[in-house]
Amino acid sequence: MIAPADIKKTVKLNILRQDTPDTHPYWQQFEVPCTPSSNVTSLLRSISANPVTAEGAQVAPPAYEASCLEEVCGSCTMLINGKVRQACSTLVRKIQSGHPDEPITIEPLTKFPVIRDLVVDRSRMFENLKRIKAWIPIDSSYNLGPGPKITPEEQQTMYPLSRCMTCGSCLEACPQFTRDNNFLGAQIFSIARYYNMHPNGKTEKDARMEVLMGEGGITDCGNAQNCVKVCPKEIPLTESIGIIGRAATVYSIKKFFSK
Amino acid sequence: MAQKRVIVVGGGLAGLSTSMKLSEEGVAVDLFSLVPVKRSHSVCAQGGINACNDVARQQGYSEWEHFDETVFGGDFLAHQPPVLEMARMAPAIIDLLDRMGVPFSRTPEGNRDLRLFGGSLYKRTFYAGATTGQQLLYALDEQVRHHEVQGHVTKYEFWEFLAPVLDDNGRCVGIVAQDLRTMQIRSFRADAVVMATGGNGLIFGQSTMSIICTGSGTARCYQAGARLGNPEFVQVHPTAIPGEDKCRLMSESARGEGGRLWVPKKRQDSRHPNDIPEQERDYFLERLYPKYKNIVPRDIATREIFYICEQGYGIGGGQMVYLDLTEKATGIPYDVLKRKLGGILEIYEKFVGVDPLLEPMKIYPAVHYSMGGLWVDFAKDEKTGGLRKADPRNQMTNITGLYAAGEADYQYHGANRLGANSLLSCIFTGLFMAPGIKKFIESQPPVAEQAQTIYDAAVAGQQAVQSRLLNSKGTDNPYVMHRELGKAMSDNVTIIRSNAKLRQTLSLIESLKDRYQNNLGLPDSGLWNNQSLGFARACWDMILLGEAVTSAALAREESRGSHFKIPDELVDRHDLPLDKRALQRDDEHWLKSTLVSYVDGKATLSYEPVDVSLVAPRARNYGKVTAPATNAASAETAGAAV
Amino acid sequence: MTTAMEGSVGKHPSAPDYSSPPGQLHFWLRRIHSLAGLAFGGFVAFHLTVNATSLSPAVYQQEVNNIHALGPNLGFVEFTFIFLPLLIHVLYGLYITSSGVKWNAVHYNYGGNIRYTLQRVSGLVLLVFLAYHLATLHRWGLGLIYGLTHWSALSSFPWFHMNFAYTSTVDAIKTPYSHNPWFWANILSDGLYFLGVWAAVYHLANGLWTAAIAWGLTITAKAQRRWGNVCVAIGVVVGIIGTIAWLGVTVLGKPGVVPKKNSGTMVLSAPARKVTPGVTPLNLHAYTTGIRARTEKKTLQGA
Ligand SMILES: Cc1cc2nc3c(=O)[nH]c(=O)nc-3n(C[C@H](O)[C@H](O)[C@H](O)COP(=O)(O)OP(=O)(O)OC[C@H]3O[C@@H](n4cnc5c(N)ncnc54)[C@H](O)[C@@H]3O)c2cc1C
Ligand code: HEM
Ligand code: SF4
Ligand code: FES
Repeated sequence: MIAPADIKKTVKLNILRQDTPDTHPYWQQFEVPCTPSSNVTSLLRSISANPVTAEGAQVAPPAYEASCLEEVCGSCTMLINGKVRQACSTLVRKIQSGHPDEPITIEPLTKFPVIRDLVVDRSRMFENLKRIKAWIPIDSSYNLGPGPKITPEEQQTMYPLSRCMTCGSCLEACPQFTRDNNFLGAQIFSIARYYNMHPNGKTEKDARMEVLMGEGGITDCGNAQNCVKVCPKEIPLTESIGIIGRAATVYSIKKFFSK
Repeated sequence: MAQKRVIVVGGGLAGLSTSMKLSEEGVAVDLFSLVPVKRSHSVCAQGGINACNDVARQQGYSEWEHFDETVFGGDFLAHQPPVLEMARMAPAIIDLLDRMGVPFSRTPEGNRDLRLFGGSLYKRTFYAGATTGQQLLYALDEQVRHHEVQGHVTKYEFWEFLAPVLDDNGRCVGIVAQDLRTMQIRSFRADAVVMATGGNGLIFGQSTMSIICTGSGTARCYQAGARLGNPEFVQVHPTAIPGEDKCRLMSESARGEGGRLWVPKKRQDSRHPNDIPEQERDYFLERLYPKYKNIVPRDIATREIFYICEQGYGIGGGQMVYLDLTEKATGIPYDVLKRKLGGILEIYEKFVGVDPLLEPMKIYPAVHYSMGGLWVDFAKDEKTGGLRKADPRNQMTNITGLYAAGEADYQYHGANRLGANSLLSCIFTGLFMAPGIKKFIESQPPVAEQAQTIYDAAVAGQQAVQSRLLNSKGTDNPYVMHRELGKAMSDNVTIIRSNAKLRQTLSLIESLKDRYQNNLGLPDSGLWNNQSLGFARACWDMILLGEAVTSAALAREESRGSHFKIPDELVDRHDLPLDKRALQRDDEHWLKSTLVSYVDGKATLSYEPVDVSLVAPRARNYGKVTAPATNAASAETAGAAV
Repeated sequence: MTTAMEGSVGKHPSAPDYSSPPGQLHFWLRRIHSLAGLAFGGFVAFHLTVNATSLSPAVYQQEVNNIHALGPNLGFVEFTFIFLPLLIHVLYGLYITSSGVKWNAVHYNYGGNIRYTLQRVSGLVLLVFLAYHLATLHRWGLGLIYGLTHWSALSSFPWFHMNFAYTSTVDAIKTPYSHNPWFWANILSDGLYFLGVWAAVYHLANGLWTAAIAWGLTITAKAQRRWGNVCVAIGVVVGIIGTIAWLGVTVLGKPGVVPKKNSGTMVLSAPARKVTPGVTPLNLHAYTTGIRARTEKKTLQGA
């Protein structure tokens, strides 16, 4: 438990701001009211309502993304005190515990191009979903009966994989994933595993493997395993990486001998 | 001739299912969303999705019962044919989702598992852990991505819908939208436009909804002449974690899976809940509703919680009650609940810091769902009692060519939505309306032939609004004004309503309108990803929606579903049970839909009869016991049974 | 003003082409890198074991002799099974290490990340070490160049000689720059070898661990932990062997001593180094000419 004495009435925020994609970033400090249940998005919201820096300058409120406020949409991913997190589920009292006077630093993700302030462009993640054909092909949406039976064990393996909210935490923390390479990253490996598991999703498995074995594919993984540590949804990402690695081994042999 | 196109605004379940079906039908789609569609608010839905199923069927349940429960749960305010059609299509929708790979939770044999949900005595709710909405949204998102890759759908994410474009005959022929990054405002032609922009919880300040749920899409159509239907019906969900920025929902599935609501029998009992023995707890819903127990519909559960807290039995005398999922209270092992409810348990743990399987949760009602929304039409099929397939009228607003779907429409849930019916209505509307839209656009002259001037004028109009906002140099920050609006709406227009408070709210809204027009101060005047600008615009929309909700509530002199009105003089008569204080349901005068139009800058009301051609309205009380229970905390009965 | 009509239907302008998947050269290179690493790892374990026999100069000499018994094939074997894999592994390893990655073990100081970073750091250490080691101890190294050119700059180094395996090894590792083992450059050489051995051990053990994931042998966290324990065990064993080898040719090493056939040791009557201040004398000459002649007669011909 955190002692009430640890909770200050206000908290200092150092925010790394950037006006446009091609201007230089700069730091700004704010001091905002804070309650025991405050989280980082609520602090950002208070700044919007009163965008005055600690020095008293009136400024434009920092831009940031947020939507669900319950860590399920993935929008509000940013660096808080140097680590990637969801601003909405980062409770101030938790990260402040022990050193309530230190300012909290907030920066945009570093692996994606900054649009403005804390807003970055994560379209790469969505484009990658297209590359690996992240869908189950269906004939049409007409009523064609139920899907295949799935055992509870299979469901319990697949369900966690399907909780990936495309937040990008795993990619931000991955030393192999950078702004200018084309590494797919843990998110994609895990999603690919998910579709490869599904009885109908399997039909596109070979096409997926071709992409996963291409540039930026599974072999670019260096096994630092940060992804699994930072994934807010606790998705077994390293397991998925192992599985894709195995599938690649099998596929390459199969292809060598029979295609 | 260029291919005809449809614009879908909104990429939640409703928008995606519409886009998917339209693409499949060969119609080109332009899909607009404030956020990447995969981050739409639908992702928050937790509990499940309803449909009649083989097990329930063999127990005597059918699509008809599903229909009946929905209409009954909605206190007979929903038109019945659309609801019947939805209930009929529900099983096929589940099959479709199953084929699309939704990881529905499974039984040991590999069948899709079912859980109990509010307003039903049958297990008829399919679910995927406790993140069903997320799973459904992702499955639809994938299908639409597949269409996108094939060139059927073009996505405009981080684009904001500003207004529909109407031609001289009042037909909707496109939209004006803004790129939220470059702030470019431009028009898009479309042979039909679908609004799937979701609910408007934000007008109440905190709600269980995502903070993009401002209702701006609805409000902008409303200002362009579209009518709202039943806006006064706002669902307050009984169980949420109170929060300063958002009230995080604890899904009804918690109770469907065995969770129990209780308060200590002793007022202001300061003991830790785990130390309060069984016989000193008042499981008030079980006491009052022996048949439905903890899963009475939401409006009722919410009022019972409100009442018991009003009587001083809330935790520590405040406004919270226990929602108990501990093994001691439910008899269900830790692991089983962890597996079935993981998603919501995590939320509680993350935001409160306590494992809710080891210690009862502290919860209170919160604004959750907008039953009202854009008024839409339907075409009844006399033969089936349901809807006519592929009829262009289905889901069309009063503006020709402008459709609405999902939480943005008012059609399916009457005065109170049953849990797990919304995901269904969203997907149903999308799938069902698409063939009708196709038929509509085929019957119309192509918008490619429209004069460019109307588009240019619409863009110029929006640019004028924008420059006025950017140059507003007053002292009222839009975020602060929103807080004021939210507080008033939450305090006065939610669980119980009284005319005095409603009038007071309307006058506050009047002053907010005035301050907005004359004293707004925008904290950012830039033209690059200016979020204050978007929020300021939405702030105006929320003020207008607040006005529509409040005026409609003021006018409706009865209690029905979520709308519960107490005459001014009885509001503080805490000695009387709630239902003795409130107005009763009045079918003779008020079995009608409220229609709100925006005329001369004001909400203007009119009414329309409800289609009750399939089941006759009947009293709604869910078997509430009126005799004082033996060991009741309060001898009087509470709540809203009518 | 533009309208959506102008785009007509078709792919979104920014949509990449998803029809043709990229080739798999990338995949094969990386898997070959892994195989090469494993192959070279096998050699390293073998090599350290052989060198650990330096505790007994005679056995060591015997081992060296056994290896050289391959005669003219030795070169071929060395090249195909050792150098080629190493070269491939190193080249591609350098590419992996340098291709735009962002090390971040400071911010994300998780075990896995530290191991990942160390894998690269140890690779770089090995690069430096191996370059030096090969140059100074292999007959294809600088010794060869000297043999061909007699460049005086190279002339002062005690090059390895197969027939004087022990002495020449110790000289080249422990006392390459002076008779005084405490001479700073000699200490540096000892240190480099220690670092090199442990970098190789770490790199090999951790490489075995990652290789199992890369090939899809270990999948679950549990399996990875289990195999991780095995890798630690392998690392400890190879590490101990490596340390013995290191001790054998450094701390315990006796410079200027060559094994006598089948028994004990004998002091090599190697010419004393000319000790001119400032210049470390060359005794290579002794090995390559006089000593070879003498010793071949004395010690080996009796075999
Ligand atoms: C916490 C929670 C749990 C729930 N659980 C359940 C449940 O278990 N079962 C159930 O049946 N229902 C549940 N509901 C209700 C259900 O989730 C919603 O009613 C439903 O998801 C609404 O879907 P939608 O497609 O209509 O709108 P949304 O999902 O809200 O999507 C709206 C879309 O419109 C876009 N948009 C909005 N405004 C604009 C604009 N101006 N310009 C451009 N785009 C715009 C947004 O970007 C978004 O893509 C729950 C609701 C909440 C809040
Ligand atoms: C003693 C010499 C070396 C041995 C025994 C060795 C062995 C190995 C082994 C077995 C692996 C595991 C392969 C895999 O993960 O599939 C590996 C990985 C690696 N090696 Fe080496 N290696 C040596 C030298 C080097 C050198 C000099 C470099 C270059 C800098 C290098 C760079 C790497 C890198 C970067 C990896 C990690 C690859 C990855 O995990 O993606 N190695 N090594
Ligand atoms: S795998 Fe986890 S960390 Fe990575 S994007 Fe998905 S949810 Fe985020
Ligand atoms: S706002 Fe959705 S994850 Fe934080």
